[in-house]
Amino acid sequence: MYDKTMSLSQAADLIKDGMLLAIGGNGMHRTPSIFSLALTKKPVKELKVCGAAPGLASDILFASFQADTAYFGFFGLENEAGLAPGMRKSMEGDNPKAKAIEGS
Amino acid sequence: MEYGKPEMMAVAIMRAISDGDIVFHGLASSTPMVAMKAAKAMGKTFTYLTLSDGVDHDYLKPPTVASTLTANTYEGSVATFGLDEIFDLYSSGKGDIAFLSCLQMDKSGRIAMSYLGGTYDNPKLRGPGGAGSATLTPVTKKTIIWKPQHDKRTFVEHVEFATTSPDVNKEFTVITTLCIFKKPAGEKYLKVHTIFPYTTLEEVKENTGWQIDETNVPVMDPPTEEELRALKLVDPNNILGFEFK
Repeated sequence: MYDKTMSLSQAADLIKDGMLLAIGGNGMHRTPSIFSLALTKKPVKELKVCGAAPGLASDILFASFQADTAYFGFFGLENEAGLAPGMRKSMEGDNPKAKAIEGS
Repeated sequence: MEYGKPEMMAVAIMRAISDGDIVFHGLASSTPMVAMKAAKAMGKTFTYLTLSDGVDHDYLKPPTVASTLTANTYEGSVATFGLDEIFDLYSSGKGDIAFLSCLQMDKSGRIAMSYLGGTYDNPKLRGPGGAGSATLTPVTKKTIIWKPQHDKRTFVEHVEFATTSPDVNKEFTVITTLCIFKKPAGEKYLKVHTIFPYTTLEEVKENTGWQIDETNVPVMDPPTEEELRALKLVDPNNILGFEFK
């Protein structure tokens, strides 16, 4: 079987400007936040994220303004932490840095 | 045994479920999660579907955090049934109840989940999105909205942007901390169906942003000792109380 195992930095190096990322997990659970934090150390920008219920890992990329579009059904941190603060920071107001495209 | 608004709402949810129902709640739904576990503990024979992909999990596995995405809603399941399969099932008309919630709602049952204030592209508050409610509401036999608040900020005269809205030909129920609203099949507007024992119709009117014309509505029976014991049994960490803080 082809081994896809690689280091965090090698995985982060795969990400280029403008890519659409399907980030796993939902809300606060099983969501690869360390991977997103690794991306915040890199100059990648204009990322798009998609998922049924993007949570913390996606929110980090909106908080850092590296993501500009979210495709989702529910984007939040459940009752544990409420509305997603990074998404709100980048999407609200007169000059939003990112846009929401809701499905369902 | 004492009870408050969380227990009354949970009991209202438990009583809304009938034997044989296929029932779904999604994520961020700790109130219906605890209520559905308790309904199982009471011996109701419905099918419990949720986002964990587990069917009829072991309801005695207690939640430890206010999330519906943790292992307690999967462990002991009798089958694995994914979210895509749940949506397919409901889209084929076989889903009896979906428990959903909202940021705001108006008298027509139009629900805001996308944003509040401003416009879609320039919102004052960006909400979490509909989480499937736009798909499920039109196809579910009985959509039930639960909302652990009852005030004029939530129940408004007019929702500017409806993430979803009820099918006029289907029953639609709203359970709040004070009462149950119902829109019967074939009707357009919500009516006060039942109030809870600790409130009055006047208090419901004072805290609702649309005009309520009902003058005489029944009072729901308070929780029984058995119902309260079931809630304690399945929720020893009082996760039910989280949404009411």
